[in-house]
Amino acid sequence: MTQKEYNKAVDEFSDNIFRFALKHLRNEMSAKDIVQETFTKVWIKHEEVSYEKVKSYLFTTAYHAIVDWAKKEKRSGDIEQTEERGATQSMNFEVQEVLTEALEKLPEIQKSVVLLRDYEGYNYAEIAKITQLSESQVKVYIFRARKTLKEYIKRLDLVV
Amino acid sequence: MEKISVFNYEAFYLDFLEGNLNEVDTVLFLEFLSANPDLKMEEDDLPIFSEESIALDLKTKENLKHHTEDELVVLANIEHFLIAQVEGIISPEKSKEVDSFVAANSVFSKEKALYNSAYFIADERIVFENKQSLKRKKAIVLWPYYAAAASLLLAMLVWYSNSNGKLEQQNLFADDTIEKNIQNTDSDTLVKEDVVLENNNDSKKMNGATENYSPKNNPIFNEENNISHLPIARNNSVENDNQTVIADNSPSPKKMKEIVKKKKSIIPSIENIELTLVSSNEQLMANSEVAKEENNDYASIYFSDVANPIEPMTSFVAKKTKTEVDFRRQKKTETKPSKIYLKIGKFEFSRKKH
Repeated sequence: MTQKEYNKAVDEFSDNIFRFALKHLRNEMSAKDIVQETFTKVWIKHEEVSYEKVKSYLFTTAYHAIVDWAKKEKRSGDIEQTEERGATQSMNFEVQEVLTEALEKLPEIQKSVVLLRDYEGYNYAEIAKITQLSESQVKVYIFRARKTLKEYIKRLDLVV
Repeated sequence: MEKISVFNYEAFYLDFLEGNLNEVDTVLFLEFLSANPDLKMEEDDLPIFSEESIALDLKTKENLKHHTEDELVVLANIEHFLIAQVEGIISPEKSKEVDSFVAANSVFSKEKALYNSAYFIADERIVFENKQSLKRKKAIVLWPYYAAAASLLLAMLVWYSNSNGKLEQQNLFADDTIEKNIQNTDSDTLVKEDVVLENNNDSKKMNGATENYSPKNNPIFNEENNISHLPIARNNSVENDNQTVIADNSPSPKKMKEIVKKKKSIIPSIENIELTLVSSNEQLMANSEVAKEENNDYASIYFSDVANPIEPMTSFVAKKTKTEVDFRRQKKTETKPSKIYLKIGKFEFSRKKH
């Protein structure tokens, strides 16, 4: 991938990575840090990564950065704070916002696979590659996440 | 051990049932129950603490099961097929079967609507604002230009020093030639002439034949002071020859006249040499101009469409060194070959690569 292609990838995918990270972390600053870290890592390897595969490479890198971040934050207890912050916003009854709340209830791995599926439209094989899971594991996680999300919005009786 | 009473016997009872009481406590507890038979629980009321009682609920078990499209859509697997339908991973036939099942069981229509809503839609308003900070600017690599300029200067220096050397050699050669010519042609004459001059002053010589020869005393050189700087005027052989020719001290008057004539003819011949030198220099200049034109023609013919990428640099160098400097370069494209042309004064280099 050339420098020109790398810059094109910034234009095309930085927003996607940012949204993906923001949904995970619920923290804008941390999400920006993840984006920065992701693109820095990709630049280091830009000569080895082709432009056709850069999106997948970006999401893989971002996913691992998020997992690392989550581990670090769990140790420092910031996750609880994040969850509390999410809970205070539960008065908003827009389905997407409720789903965003529901997302916080999901385990990290389910959160990742669902976001990769919904935001980026990746198939199970691609998600498996990014998250280093098997396709069947990805499918199981997605199905479980869907059930949890469905139960969450059902409880609030948002969908008729 | 604390005393078992009606107020705390339940805790002991649970520990007894779970088998957590030690022997002493067990004996004490059984004694307490015997003393208080009304507190003894019936068999049916006792909680069951067995491994069988720890089990997953049906829903969780159902989640673990794998379903295939071969299965009929039933109550037990409808949730799986509803998710599979919204995920788009079942065949159109199976999807129709799911729809038929939902239509027949209206309670699942809401479930289907809920699953259809349990999808995230990316909020396009959320954007990463500082994209420029992520981009990489192309680093301008200057070293090839520095290297090109340095090699250009070096080449020019080499050429310049070589050309100077040649010029000096040419001048020296010219001087030597003149000197040799003069020596070869007129040395005898000069010698004789000097003798003649001396002999001409025979009357004086009679007074002092040992008087040293001085060119200043030579009427010819005095007459032509303007050429006294020429090598011929400083010919050291004169003195030596002076002595040798002194022996020849009997020139005839006729011969003397011839010698004087010859002597006079030397001056114009020196002028002629100067003129020849000047004209040859002019010719050299003219030749270089012709060569320059020819070179320009070459560049204009074969490199007319090729630009000079370092034009300010070459112009600067050309101006400073007063030497024609040209550099043209064309990178290889699909239609054009790569070309390179370098000219420093008379030095020319060109290469064309397909």
